[in-house]
Amino acid sequence: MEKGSRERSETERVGKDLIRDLVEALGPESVRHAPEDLRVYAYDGYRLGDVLPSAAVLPTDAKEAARAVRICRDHGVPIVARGSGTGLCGAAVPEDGGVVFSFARMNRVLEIDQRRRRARVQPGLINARLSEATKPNGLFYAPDPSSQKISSIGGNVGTNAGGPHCLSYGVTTNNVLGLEFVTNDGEVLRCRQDDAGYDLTGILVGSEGTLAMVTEIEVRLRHLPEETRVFLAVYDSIEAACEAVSEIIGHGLVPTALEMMDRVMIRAVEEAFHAGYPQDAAAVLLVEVAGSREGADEAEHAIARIAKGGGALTWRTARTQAERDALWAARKGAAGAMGRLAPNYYIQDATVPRTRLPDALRAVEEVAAHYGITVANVFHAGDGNLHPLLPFDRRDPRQVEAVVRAGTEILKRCIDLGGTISGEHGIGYEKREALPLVFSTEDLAAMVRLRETFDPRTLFNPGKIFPSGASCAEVRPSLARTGGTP
Amino acid sequence: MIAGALEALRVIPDLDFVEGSQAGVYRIGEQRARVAVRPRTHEAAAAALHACAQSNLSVVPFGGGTGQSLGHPPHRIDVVLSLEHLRGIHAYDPRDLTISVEAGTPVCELDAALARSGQHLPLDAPLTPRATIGGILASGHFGWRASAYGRPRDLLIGMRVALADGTLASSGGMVVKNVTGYDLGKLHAGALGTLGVVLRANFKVFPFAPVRRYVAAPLPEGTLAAIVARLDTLVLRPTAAVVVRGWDDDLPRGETGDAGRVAIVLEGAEGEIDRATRELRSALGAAGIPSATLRDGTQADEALAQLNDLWRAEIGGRSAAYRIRGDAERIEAWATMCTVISEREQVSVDFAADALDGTVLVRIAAPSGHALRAALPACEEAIRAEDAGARILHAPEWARREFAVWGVEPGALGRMREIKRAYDPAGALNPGRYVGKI
Repeated sequence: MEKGSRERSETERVGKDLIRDLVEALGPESVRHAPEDLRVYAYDGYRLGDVLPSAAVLPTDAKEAARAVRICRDHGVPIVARGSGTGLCGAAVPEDGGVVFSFARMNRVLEIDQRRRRARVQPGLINARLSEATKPNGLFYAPDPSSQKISSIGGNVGTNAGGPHCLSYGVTTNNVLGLEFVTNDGEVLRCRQDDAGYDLTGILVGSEGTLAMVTEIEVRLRHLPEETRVFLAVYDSIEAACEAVSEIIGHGLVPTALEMMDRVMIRAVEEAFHAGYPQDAAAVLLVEVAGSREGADEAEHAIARIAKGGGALTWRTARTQAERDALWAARKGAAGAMGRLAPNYYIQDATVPRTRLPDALRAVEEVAAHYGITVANVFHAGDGNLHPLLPFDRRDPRQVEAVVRAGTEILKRCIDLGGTISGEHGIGYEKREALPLVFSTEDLAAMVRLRETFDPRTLFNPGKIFPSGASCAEVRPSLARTGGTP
Repeated sequence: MIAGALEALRVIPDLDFVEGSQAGVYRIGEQRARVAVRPRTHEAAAAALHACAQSNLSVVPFGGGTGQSLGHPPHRIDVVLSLEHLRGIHAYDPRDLTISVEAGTPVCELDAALARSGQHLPLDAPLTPRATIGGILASGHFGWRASAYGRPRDLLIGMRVALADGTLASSGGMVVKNVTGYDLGKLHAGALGTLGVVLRANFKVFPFAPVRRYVAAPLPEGTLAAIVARLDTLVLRPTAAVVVRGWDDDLPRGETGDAGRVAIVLEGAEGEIDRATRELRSALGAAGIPSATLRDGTQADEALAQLNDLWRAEIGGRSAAYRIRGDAERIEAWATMCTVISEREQVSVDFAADALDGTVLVRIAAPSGHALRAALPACEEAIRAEDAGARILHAPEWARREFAVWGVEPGALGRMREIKRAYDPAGALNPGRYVGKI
């Protein structure tokens, strides 16, 4: 007992020293340490505020961030970078105390280079704001996760976020040209894809803050397409809709987006948004093509032929911008609409080869039925990226246990189909114990070696991505705390 | 000492061991290998690498040999590790739009396999009958369509490498969207085999566009800047647009004018390409370029292949090539500078520039190796003064020893050295060739 209290007072003393040093370095307005102020940093779209950080800092530039990193290093406390907290895998929430770095005050567009179609931005910039800012220049930033109205580009970089439109434009890593980052020693460095040497940009994107802290991002912008068309095909079976996806791809067409929702999802979405999705349909396919007028014409023609020939019950083109926006708003708000079905939901993010989509959906259905769960499916069909949403009530431990088991089984079934456990949400805390299902010990050792190079003391976001080495039994209770209410 | 170490290699199963003149076919710049091993399995490749690292033997990974004049000359060449037996398509279902291929596969074999299903992988690799997938990835090559399709690193979705500790490590997978674990493929792409040896790579692939058109036009005097500016305003973007001056032995004759030529690749649906062609013709006309030649389908592919070959058009011992970092607005300035260098230094200078992203390829050639030795230092100085980051793609060995072949050292070089130490602590892999003589 005595030892315990000595440890506690030692922890408190270290905590006080840490906060004192942070305040001294950054000023009181940049450091939060009252428990009521810290609670917000213990949440993301996955975790529900069970572990508070010791402090949160809000740097205003890279130098401040670097200074704070050095202080954390000297105190030996974890460093957790955080964007808007919309992540779905617990990557931005501290696992065991430490200091959360919020980029809420580093949220500006620093430069738009119209001619070279590039922009430099701060990590706290909200994704959607960038395309709004570049629209007058006829340009846009392609990665568009469904959370784009609130998620930050820094957070997107952390998870290598995707979005419906990455089917043709690529994910975040394909649209990031360079980074400024703070190392574990508090050094501010830059890397660009065009620099000589190893592709540090490619390595840092998607590393979930476990290698360094990104403080500036240079992104590629694209010309706004001349023409954008959105179509809706309605099916009486999910298989028929999947078949249409295969045919569209097999036909040599690569739409800018190819999205699907099943019956449960359509109902929830329609009740929430009234966007015009038919509530009695088994599946809908949302297709977008963008490019030249002529290209859009030809694509529309070909896709309509495939849809009608493949048994689509109805097929329509969104004629107006308002109609297109309504269909997209409902699709991107799908997860939010789940609130109508249950107090909580658990969203999965497995990806399978496109041809295995029908098998994967069957597997999801079987697993869900086995556990008595009414699953809703919304997914990036063109990429083979599934998002089954498993509704539950976290006040009921049996339901929690059921979705956890079902979720893991779904991942396993998708791996058996040649897929993987995360397409765009990240591994974070949520799926770290599942990583060995995909990679061998040797594969993981090669990854850990990189981590040790960047961060030998494991201060950057410890407890994320890599398995703890503990048994799955230990992870289970923590999943009971899942279920973000968006 | 070395003999004993080599003995360890001889006993590895599924590993061909050759020495003497048989190994001499593997040329690294101006040097020939004395010992080469050819693994028949991934395990044999990893075991060979491990044996070498343990015995302090240096290893030069070898694909088709087309990029072996890249980088500084290696400190030592004890063993060449040739990937020629690790060849073929590992997995391919055209409906998935993904392919998995062994690293020693010549690019043309991959192209042929994809073409049979109406698909392609736009690596824009030069010398595709010889260049291998592993070599193209390791060398950090990207070609004329990179701004449309992305660089090879962007098309890569999975990789398997052999590491110096004898392990096999995979990352990524066979799905087009994947954030599971670190994206280690990006680390090895462009690393020139200094961290591990690429054994297999997975890519996302594309259906061929219904129409592929190659438009070539001679440039009359004074039209180069005008066409570069016009190309930037096209509503229907080409997938490649290259202005070329020189290279007369490498490209079709009769398509070049006083100011060189422009080559444009259009890919898309029929109606789209009809309109793109009309818009392009009017842009050419407005820039003062009266005529253009059109090639479609496989003829267009062949013309593009010639353009890709320029990246490795080495003239044995008497040429050097630079890749200069881009800005389309400076293309004309670079072209002018090439003319100045050519006249002042009495060398022939061939020039090609990506009008979409500004990347410039410059080749300097002299009548003899001796003449190049006399002229190149001044050319090097002139180019570096304009772009300290210029990369030398090939040059005689003396130049690659003396010059900063990778361009200015990156700010994060220290971090890169640590990465090298982590994966190859003995410094066995391609020692001395990479950035900062890593």
